[in-house]
Amino acid sequence: MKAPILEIRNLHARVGDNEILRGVDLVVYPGEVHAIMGPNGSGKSTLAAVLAGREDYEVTDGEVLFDGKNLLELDPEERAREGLFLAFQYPVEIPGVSTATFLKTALNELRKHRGLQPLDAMEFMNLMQQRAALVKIDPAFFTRSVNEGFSGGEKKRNEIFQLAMLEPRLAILDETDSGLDIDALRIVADGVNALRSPDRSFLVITHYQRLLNYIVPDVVHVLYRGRIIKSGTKDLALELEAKGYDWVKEFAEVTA
Amino acid sequence: MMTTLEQTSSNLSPLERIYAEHRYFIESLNGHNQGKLSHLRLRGIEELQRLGIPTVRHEEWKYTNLYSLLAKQFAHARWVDESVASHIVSQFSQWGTVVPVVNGRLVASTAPGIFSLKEVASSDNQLVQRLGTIAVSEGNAIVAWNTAFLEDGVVVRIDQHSPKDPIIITSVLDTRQGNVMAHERHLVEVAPGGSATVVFVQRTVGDGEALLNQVLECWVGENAQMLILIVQDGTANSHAITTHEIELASNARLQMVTVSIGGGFIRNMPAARLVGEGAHAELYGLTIADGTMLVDHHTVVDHRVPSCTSNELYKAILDGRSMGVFNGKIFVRPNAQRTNAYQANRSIVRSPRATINAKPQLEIFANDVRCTHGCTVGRLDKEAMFYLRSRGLSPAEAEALLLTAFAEEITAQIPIESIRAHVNATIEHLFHADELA
Repeated sequence: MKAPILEIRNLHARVGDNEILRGVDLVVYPGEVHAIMGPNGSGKSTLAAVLAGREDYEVTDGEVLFDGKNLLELDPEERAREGLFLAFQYPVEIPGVSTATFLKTALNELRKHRGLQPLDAMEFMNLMQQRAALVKIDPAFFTRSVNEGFSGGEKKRNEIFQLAMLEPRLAILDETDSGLDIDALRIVADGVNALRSPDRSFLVITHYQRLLNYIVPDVVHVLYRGRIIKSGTKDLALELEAKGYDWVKEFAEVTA
Repeated sequence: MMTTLEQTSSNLSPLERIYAEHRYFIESLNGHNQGKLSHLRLRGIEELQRLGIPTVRHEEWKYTNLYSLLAKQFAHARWVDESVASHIVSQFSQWGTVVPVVNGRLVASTAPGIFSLKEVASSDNQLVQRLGTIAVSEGNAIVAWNTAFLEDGVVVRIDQHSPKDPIIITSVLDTRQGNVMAHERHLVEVAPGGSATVVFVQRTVGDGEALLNQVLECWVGENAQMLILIVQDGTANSHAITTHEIELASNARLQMVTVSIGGGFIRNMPAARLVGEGAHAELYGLTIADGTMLVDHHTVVDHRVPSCTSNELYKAILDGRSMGVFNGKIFVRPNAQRTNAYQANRSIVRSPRATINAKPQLEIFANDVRCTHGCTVGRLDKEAMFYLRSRGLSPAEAEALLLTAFAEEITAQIPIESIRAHVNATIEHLFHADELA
């Protein structure tokens, strides 16, 4: 078996005095899709933020290896260049910066890191058109400011479009399903499924099982009070949906 | 005579120095100090004597220390070497019709309809009648100073038949014989229904310090349009005090874009007076400053009659020990009902030693008015920075992208492609230089 792409060991993190992650352990192999579920406040988004390198979070214990490298020592842009991608729960609006300019700068930065030549204008445009089709994004978006005035669904599709452009080795989807109607959810899921490959792994963070009908995970984890308390197959997600989170909370209290 | 002045001048106060320069200037006119100009010059020097050079104790000059600038002992420009202008002219010739003004004096212009103030002043030119009526010496030390040394500038009248080419008034200050100060007085009239574009640029020749005191008086007739672009992208030894006063007749439109991205000490005092109903003025400004650069905008939008509209947006990006000043006055006079005026000032301060002093000043004397302002000072948006970095951009690249976007909101208002491209390229270079540092 290949070496893991992500190894999280005993990860503790806090914001201010508030300890949110209290010993997360997780191993993801190339090509796997892991779902992380859990009730509100369990630490799901904190885990995504810590992995992406958001400043406000302080790691107090544990380690994270990304392709064998110490991820926590890297700046956010270095993590991206190594192949980590976070699809934001709340994508940021950037007035005045066009999607094309933004993605061209980002993509060429990643290519430089991989020892590749920057794409010329024509190659870049062709790539954008091809990848935009995956998530049904209108090429008119390319010249619009990043996320400015986009609907919730458009913002989430734009995240998956960026994922398709930047071709990460590990993509973290942070509640990408929140605020999506069923049609948008299907478009996003189809885009993600088209991007699944033996070299690419996904960490799908979600509150609801619904998304996992479309993006079928290899492993489902339940995060509760900053720890993974239960892991299983995709059936675990269905069981959670049927029984509610109280069922695993009881489980957590038994094993605590 | 000149030798005497140079020998004694270092002991003189700035004002004494100006008087001495002025006496010498009047003598150098060799008896040509007659007529309307001489009358204005006399009023100018008397008014300057009465007002003095403003100090930081004056509310309007609180942050902008003119005395520290004048310590550089500028000599009133007396020599003109027209040849220095030629390579500068070629830099701007693709923008429009370049009119070089070297050390305050117009270099012979062949462009039709563009006159030298010096030449037309003695004639009965109707245009000269407006001189000193839009920018007046009374109560304004800078205009008084300029008027005391009134000698030359561009005089132009645009009507529907005039060439549409932008007029590029190119101020060249030649410091090869020492620090120099030049006074320019320009007069522009746009006839009813006409449309004019005037661009101001400034270049310094030599390593000395150069101070330009530029005054524009501009009348925009009924249904006429005026576009004024001021591109301040000079070297650190280029200093400028500009007073651009524009009066708008009914249904006239003014758009003014000031880009201050290079230079040393810059003080801009644009004033748009809406004196005809239905007139509209838009003022845009962009400051990008680093080092010890000072950029001070004191703007006036004066709604004097009913049913006029105005919009004003000034932005600044300040780094190093630079200082930005924005004072935006909007007057709505008692009978100026149905005025709609908006003003906004947004600044990004990038260094702990850079400062911005922003003061909106709305004085409203009518009741049926919509007049609002907004003012923000901040740093770059942290969320946007993280978003960009999470996609692989270095902090420097992410900053450059965000700052460029911030600046381009103003440069997008420059409707002439070649000028907009020049300004955007300069800005990109400024931010890229940062990235390499």
